[in-house]
Amino acid sequence: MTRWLLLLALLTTPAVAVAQRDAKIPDPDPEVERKTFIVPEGFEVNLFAADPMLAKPIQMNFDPAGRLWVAASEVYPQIKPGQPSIDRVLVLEDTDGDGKADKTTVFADGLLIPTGVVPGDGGVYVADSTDLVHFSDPDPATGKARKKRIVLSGFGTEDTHHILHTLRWGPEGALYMSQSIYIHSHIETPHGVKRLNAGGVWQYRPATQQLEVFAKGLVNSWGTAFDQYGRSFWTDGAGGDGINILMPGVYAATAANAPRILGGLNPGSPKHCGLTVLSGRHLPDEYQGNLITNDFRGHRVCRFVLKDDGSGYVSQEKQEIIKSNHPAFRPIDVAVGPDGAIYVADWYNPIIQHGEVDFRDERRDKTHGRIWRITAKNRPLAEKPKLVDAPVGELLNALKAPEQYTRQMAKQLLKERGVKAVLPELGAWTAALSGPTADALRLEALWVFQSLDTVAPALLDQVLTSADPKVRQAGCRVVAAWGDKLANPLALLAPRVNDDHPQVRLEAVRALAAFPQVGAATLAAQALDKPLDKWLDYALFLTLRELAPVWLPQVQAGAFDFGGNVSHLVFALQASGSGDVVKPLLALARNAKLPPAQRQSAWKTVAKLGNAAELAAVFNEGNQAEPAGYWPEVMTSLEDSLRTRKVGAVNAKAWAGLTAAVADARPAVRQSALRLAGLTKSEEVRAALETASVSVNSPDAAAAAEGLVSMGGPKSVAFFRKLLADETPAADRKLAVVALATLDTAAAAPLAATYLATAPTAPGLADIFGAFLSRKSGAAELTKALAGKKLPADTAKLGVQAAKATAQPDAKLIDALTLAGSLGAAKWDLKGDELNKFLGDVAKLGDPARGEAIYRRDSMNCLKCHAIAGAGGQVGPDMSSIGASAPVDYLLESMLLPNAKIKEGYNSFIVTTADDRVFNGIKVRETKTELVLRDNENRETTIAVADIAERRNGLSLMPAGLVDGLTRQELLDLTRFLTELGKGQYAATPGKVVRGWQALTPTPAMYEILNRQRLAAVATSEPGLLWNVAYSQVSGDLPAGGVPEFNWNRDAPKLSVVRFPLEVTAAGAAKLTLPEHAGLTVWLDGVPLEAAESVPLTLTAGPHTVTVAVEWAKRSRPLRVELDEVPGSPSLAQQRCPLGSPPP
Amino acid sequence: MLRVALAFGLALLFAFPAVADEPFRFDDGDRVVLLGGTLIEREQKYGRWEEALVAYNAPRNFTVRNLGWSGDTVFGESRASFDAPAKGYERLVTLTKSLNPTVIVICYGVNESFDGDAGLERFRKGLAKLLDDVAPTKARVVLLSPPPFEPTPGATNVAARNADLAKYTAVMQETATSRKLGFRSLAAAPPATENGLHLNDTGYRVLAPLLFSTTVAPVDAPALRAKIVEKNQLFFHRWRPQNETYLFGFRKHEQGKNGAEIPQFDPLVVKAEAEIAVMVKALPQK
Repeated sequence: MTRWLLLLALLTTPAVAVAQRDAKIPDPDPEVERKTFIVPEGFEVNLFAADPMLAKPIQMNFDPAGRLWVAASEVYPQIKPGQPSIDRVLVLEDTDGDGKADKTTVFADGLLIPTGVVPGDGGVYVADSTDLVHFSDPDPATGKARKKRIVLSGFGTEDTHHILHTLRWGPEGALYMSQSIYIHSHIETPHGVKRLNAGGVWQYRPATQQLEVFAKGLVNSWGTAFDQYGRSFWTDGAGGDGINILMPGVYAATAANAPRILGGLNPGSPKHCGLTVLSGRHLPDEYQGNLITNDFRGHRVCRFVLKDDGSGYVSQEKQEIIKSNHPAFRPIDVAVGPDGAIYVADWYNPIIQHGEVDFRDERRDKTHGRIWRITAKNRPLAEKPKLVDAPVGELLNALKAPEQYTRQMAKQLLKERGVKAVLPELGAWTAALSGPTADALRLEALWVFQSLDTVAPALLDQVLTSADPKVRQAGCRVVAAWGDKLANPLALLAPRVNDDHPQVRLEAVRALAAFPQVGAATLAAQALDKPLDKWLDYALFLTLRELAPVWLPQVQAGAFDFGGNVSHLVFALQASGSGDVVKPLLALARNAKLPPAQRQSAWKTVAKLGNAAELAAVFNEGNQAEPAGYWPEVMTSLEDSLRTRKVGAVNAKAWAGLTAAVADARPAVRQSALRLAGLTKSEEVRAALETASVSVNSPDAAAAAEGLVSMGGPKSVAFFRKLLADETPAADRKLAVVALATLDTAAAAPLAATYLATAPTAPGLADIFGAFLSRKSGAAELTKALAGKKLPADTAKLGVQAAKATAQPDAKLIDALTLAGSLGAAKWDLKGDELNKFLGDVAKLGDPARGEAIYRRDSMNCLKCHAIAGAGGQVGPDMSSIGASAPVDYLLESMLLPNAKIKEGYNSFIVTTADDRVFNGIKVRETKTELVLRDNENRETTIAVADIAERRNGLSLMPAGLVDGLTRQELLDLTRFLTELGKGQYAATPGKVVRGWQALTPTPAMYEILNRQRLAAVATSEPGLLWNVAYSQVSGDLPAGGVPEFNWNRDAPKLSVVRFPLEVTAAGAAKLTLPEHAGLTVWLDGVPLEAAESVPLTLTAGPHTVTVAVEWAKRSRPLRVELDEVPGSPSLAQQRCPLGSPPP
Repeated sequence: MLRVALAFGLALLFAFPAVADEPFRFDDGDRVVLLGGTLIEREQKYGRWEEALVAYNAPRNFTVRNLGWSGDTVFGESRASFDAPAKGYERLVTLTKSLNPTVIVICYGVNESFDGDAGLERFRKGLAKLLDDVAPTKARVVLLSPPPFEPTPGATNVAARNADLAKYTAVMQETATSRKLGFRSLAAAPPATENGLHLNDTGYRVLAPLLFSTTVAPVDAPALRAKIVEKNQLFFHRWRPQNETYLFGFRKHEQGKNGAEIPQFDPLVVKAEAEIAVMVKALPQK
């Protein structure tokens, strides 16, 4: 408690003082801002509207009259006591068509931080704190609404940049709205209370008041868009995956109670806000269908190009629509206007959000805001459609426009005109459609029917059987929406589940979830008969899981078995995630007629879900003789279950086979058996474990020791105590200390202290500290035992590092280690004038290039946890453009006091289990039964929720004191580097430069292998080579000195070898671009290629590896490799960042 | 336990002789707390019922604290925020008690009624538990049963909904009778909802007279109502402020210092109430 108070006191005083003194308010002249904009060749930007016409725009949407509606808040982030809620909804109009707004109307005021606005239903919907409200009936004199209706109440407000936002109409007339991760909403509707705790997308049909949770997850989902075919996407203003597929019912990252999470399309592309799909005659062809979103942190309006890839997409970022270094340019929403130009809402603020910077920080801008308009030079604008008073027939013809704006607005108006006015003409209009665009127009007509809540079976049938798969997939969602109003919906979906196009199959599979019938499950499972990629696999998983309450009881009752199709049944049972599936799965696993892969899958699932007796059955009956990894994988599943689940009482007699298994010839089987012997408390095998655990340098020793720890009891304690008392070789004493620390922490501590005092320092000693820190009383016992002891300084440092890496570092243990290792207390402590001087010196004296070199030092561990443009660890937030968004005082404080401000989603949990084990980490996901944490080593650990005795919020996983070893100049350089990230040459450019590498690390085995097999061995999957992760600089260059360099043979030149994995989803041609190819030798999957400025690649679908040997002496610049498309080729190749050190 | 029950009974007996007939008759100095879901929550934005209560009870002076929360139930289901559901209920009880009420108006049942017959006993027990848990306040309790569902586009089963709702309101009435609590029913309300479920300004105005057993003259005091709404908004910022995550929640170590602003709403609420008290004097006095 005292520590907490101290910490709070430390961080309040300097932060506030500095925040105000360090204020950097840019020149607010819009022209100054505009001049910073870099746009693609052929485009220009003009100012559409600026303060004082508007201030602080948050969301915007156009109406059918071409007016731009803007939600604007000056109250954000928090209303002050006594301050009126003055926020407004504004309407901006360009009445003379010169591309500049010349009229502002306040349509509504008195709002509290309105975060969403969309015109419709005769007025405008506004997200107003806890409520969704609808304003209408404008006063003819002032234009201000006279009528206010509360539509929905009960949206949570736990964070004002998470509250109800991103209001968008779907093509079918439903209103889509988002809320973000901290929000808990409880909405009453005539159909019952709808609740959504955490982030997600709501789907609301105003006419019927049906409100559903359409998708769950993401941290802060400020972008939703539908393309011409109703395919939906969303973006995350805080997450890191760029464009995400908005699949109906999806659980995206962070979703509460997620059984499985679907990731986005651009891992390593963080912070995107606002989303629109480009269309229309004004924009060049290559821009049609592009997705535009904003990186408000990095001052960029970003452009993504999606290509179909199976049932999903490959998404590539292209040159930005706008790139700027203006510190207050904050693009947060984007839309295509009635003239076909791209409009961008610029929130204009040097400070973003309020989690990390004080609510009342004076640098917060409250008065400015801009709307920018981007046009293609020398291309005519789209003619603004005249829709508002147009007759129904003209509105229908407007559906033929190439501009999505026009089609969407026409549909809005048709919906408002109502059934009586529209239906008579709609039928005839639809019947008269012909030509190549007829199918796409039928889809538009179908959506009009849908928005009018009128079922149109014949038209639906036409859409579902269109020659265009994009049209067919859209029809599937309509089937789900109309449900039982259709005569035989399952018959409509049956051919689509078996469609030639995977996107159609995916939508059909998801649509089937709307029909709680066994027949729907049977049908959905048919998708398994065609290839299943990750998106389709996910869709089917969701559907069968959602339908499980209907089909699972039937399976258990023996009344249903997916028509006897075993692979369907296995998939479904696994998807259901219910313990009740074990018996049918066991029956399948025992069926010798099944192919081995299916049986293995069944055995593993039983091992994952079964009770103690069923686990024993797996062990005794499983196909132990199957080759390769078949059996060890099953055994690992058994271990995982015994370790992390309550499986009931284990009968050791049922595991008698372990006696033989611990002597198996296969190392993986043998080691797993040693661990299983412990987990099952097979005392019969104890002697074998003891023998194996003392066999010096044996790979089995660690497994045997682990087994003895699991087996536990006084015998295990006595064994390890005896081992430590004896003169056993040092390596094995370490193992014994680690084991004893878990078994009997108090007894182990003095033995550990004695051992640490004499053992030579080696990285492996960290295991000992880890063992104590993972016990509830471990830190205290070790502290006690260290009293009066002297440790080698480097050993003590290992201990301090380990202690600091926990979520709540134990100060007493750190003190004890510091004393024992005579480490002294060199700690950065900047306050008052000293701090201000330092902050001032960052820009004056700091050198970003030197700072980057410090950032990249192994000893700093920055890269281990933080990624830049996706390259780096995933433990902490991505740093790509942190300098463009975070003030310098915040950056410095984050390094000196990592716990002062913790980025959302990065606070850690400390979980103590019933058996006193302690886990630290960031929550990856949590279901009712499992909690998955990611620790600071990027490892994921699964903990059974039933085992959790206590959970607390921990601190940041970033250890304090990381920069303590730096000199003042070094800290200035490092801080300067961070402030530059996202700006100028430190803005990580999108594109295909390779950023994540594996570097060959010299070992004795490597020299032996290369001398025997020559250098080409590095391009093979030779298992004896050690590869470590390496990352390019922000610029994309991999510098000399950044990776190990060696002479593998006396006569060979000095070189480095690096490689990177490629994932190819569509076969074809691609190329490597090597700006300097001197000194390079390049292999693709072991085949040498001629190094040149451009290296053509012919790629088959699947994983590939490119290996490059670099003779630095022959080069004038760092290594840079870009992976590019070849125009006209269908190849879809993406570099995958390697995450761990093992070979791919 | 017996002593508490006895004290509670005595309090009812001596302090509020007219309870059964006129539960919304208040005394000078009464502190009234309103509990419920959207119906109660939205009333604070229109102020129609509070206006009617003020007019009916003039010149007696009392305060009203609206703790309605959309989607809420007798189990406090809407109030858990980041915590486990039990914490939401605990918050409902603790907050009610902390306001030191002399009258507690409880309007639940509509959200629970979607559980039909299966949820009925759970509701009865939940209501009883809530009443037991707020009993230490010794406040007089009034149960207010919600108005019926009305037909609306998209809602096809209104008759069934209302059959279920009637069972839940019957539980409220039985509970009120057996515990000798105040009870008013809105079951006979004329059609007045906006969406089949919730009231708008007109709806609250039309239903306001049903709070009383005697016929009361309609009131329409816009200035008073505006002041009531302003007071309610200030109190809302006090008890349900935005940004709770940072102010008082698990990220308070970052921006928690801003939480110091929230109690500054207290004097503003008191000031608005003083202004209401002055306005009450100008109302027709009974």
